[in-house]
Amino acid sequence: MKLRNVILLGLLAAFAIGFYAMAQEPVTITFWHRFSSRHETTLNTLKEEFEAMYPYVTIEYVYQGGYGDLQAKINNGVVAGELPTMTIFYENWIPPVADALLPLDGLLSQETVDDILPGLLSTAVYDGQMLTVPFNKSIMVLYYIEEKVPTPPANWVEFLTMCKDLTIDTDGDGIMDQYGTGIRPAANPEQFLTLLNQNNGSILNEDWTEVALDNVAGVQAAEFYAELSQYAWVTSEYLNSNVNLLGMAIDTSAGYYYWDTAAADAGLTIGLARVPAKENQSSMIQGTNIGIFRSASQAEIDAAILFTEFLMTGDKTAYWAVASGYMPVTVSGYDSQVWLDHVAANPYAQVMADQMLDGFSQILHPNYGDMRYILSTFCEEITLGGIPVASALQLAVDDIADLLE
Amino acid sequence: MAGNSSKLAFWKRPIPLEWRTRAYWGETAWAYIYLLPSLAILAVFTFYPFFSAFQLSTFKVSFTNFPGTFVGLDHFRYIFGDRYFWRALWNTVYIVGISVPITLFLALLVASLLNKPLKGRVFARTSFFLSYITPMVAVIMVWRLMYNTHYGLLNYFLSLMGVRIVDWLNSPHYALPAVIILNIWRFVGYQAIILLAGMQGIDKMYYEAARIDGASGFQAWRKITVPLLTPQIFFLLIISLIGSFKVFTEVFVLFNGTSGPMKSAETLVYYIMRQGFFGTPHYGRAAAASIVLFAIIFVVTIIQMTIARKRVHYQ
Repeated sequence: MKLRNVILLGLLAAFAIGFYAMAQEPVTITFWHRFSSRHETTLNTLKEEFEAMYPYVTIEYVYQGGYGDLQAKINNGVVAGELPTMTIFYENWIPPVADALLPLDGLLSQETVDDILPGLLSTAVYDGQMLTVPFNKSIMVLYYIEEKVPTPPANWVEFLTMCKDLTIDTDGDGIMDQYGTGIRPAANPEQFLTLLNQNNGSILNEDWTEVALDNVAGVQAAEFYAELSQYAWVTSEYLNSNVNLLGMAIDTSAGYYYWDTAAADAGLTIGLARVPAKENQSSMIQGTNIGIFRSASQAEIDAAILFTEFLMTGDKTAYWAVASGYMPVTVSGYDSQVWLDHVAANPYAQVMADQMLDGFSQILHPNYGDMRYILSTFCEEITLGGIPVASALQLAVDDIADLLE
Repeated sequence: MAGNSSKLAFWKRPIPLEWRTRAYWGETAWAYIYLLPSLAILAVFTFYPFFSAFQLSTFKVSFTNFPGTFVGLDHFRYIFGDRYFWRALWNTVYIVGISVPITLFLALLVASLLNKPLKGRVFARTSFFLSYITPMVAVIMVWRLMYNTHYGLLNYFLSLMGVRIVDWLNSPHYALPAVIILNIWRFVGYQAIILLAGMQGIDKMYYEAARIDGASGFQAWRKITVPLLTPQIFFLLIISLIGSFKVFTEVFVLFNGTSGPMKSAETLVYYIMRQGFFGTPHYGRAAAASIVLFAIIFVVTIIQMTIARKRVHYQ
């Protein structure tokens, strides 16, 4: 074919696409979120890139405050019939409003669905339907102070031993001046859930008909957690708020920026490692998904699907992860040049990635919110309360069993 | 007969003469027109939610099929069988029982001191009132720093006095006292200003007469000041009791969104918020618990007002 003809065809194709875009009716999609400051800046960058690709689509971000405010707004919106096009969700928010969500099966490309990290796919499916896709996810990792911990522990035995050695009362007033680790039983029972899963334990059995927390694996995990608390700063504060009190801590990867800043302010260096292992080296994934509401118009739904696919592409999920401190949610995200460059410059990111590939998510049970509260109470009872593990476990099992009924 | 009409049941009393005049009804209509905006706001934001709570407490709410399913008294049965409800109730009663009398007593002392012709009195009065007018969340966040086990001001002063430092915010034994201390500090100034205003309204002749009769300062305070302050004391008792039953923000901010170590500072309002808005929402249970709280406060207030009839001296 002559070069002239090729150029002509290319120009014609470009005009055709341009006319098609112009011919699209302008559509605005509203996106409820709770990201502020640097996270919001990153979201805006993604918005601008998307809108440049699809000029007829305008994304209207609406900041809703904290997660609690966002959940209340979503619940109230479902009742009032005033919903955005799409929003972020914690998985356990989904069951009460599942009927209002648009099933994404068949709307997202198979390529996008297959690209989602295996550990995250279960959180996207409720009652046999894919109702959401993962968005901002983090993983529990081990932070350690390099000046106090030259080599991070690889397993539970080493972890406990090192915590004992690091817990010291320098002035003899009965209050420890340094702790091996930090525990937040009320605010973060996910620390215990990570240990539980590492020991091949679980809250419920496979078909969710019985409580499995008090099986052998559960008892062992609880006893280890209780023993660890003797060498831990047990608090409701953020662990990085007193970084010089600690030797190590299991905490979310999304807090790396705050850990690094706090350590630098204290003249210390933060290191990152995978969570010490038991039967496996898994760790709990936290964070939210994206869902689209049925109440949106067809044009809004089409645009929202486009935006969702855009956010799930390898480069974009990696860009979001690098800029926000969260993790890519697709396999292609970890293979993208954006992520590889980030890892090359920041080796700790590879530790997070390795841990993420071994991650597990919360169960999508309708009463998971209540179960989490019961677990947080249980964690407090065996750490702060000094209640024997067996007694506290029985109470927790009875309370969770009531929920199953 | 007309002179004794007030002793008759209201449906037997003769119609007042003024009711038969057009001017009376005209004035009444204008009064209600002026009240209409306030009544409209009250109706939407107070009366409607109040009555809705009764309805909500008997329904299992479905978001996609509001208001959901009628369940009768199931929510009330649930909360009365919930150990966390009884713990929250106990914690709330504890806070009320300790903080209300201590705050009032300290406020009385402070007001008595502020009533004296001391130098720097204006500065002192302003300082005491500052605790009340400063935004609550900001105040609580500063107290959180002061309560810090290792770096807090309170433990520093305790260590200077040779007292063992206290794990205020991480120990279940001290969490509730931490809330109570904060509550007392916050409201002493406000109550002192109210009592001070009352003291300044007491006729000086009573003190003159007492001085002539040879009464000491303390006797004058006990026999004149306190009895004549009973209207203000009664007012403060009612509002501080109601306010203490509704403690939430102090707990939520002091313990970073949780209700203290081992939920040891979980109050009734926190329990209501947790049922309705934290985790899996149970609006029906939250409404039921809020009705129970309303009933408790209502009964306590009735008891107070019954006692007040005999104990409050308005002259």
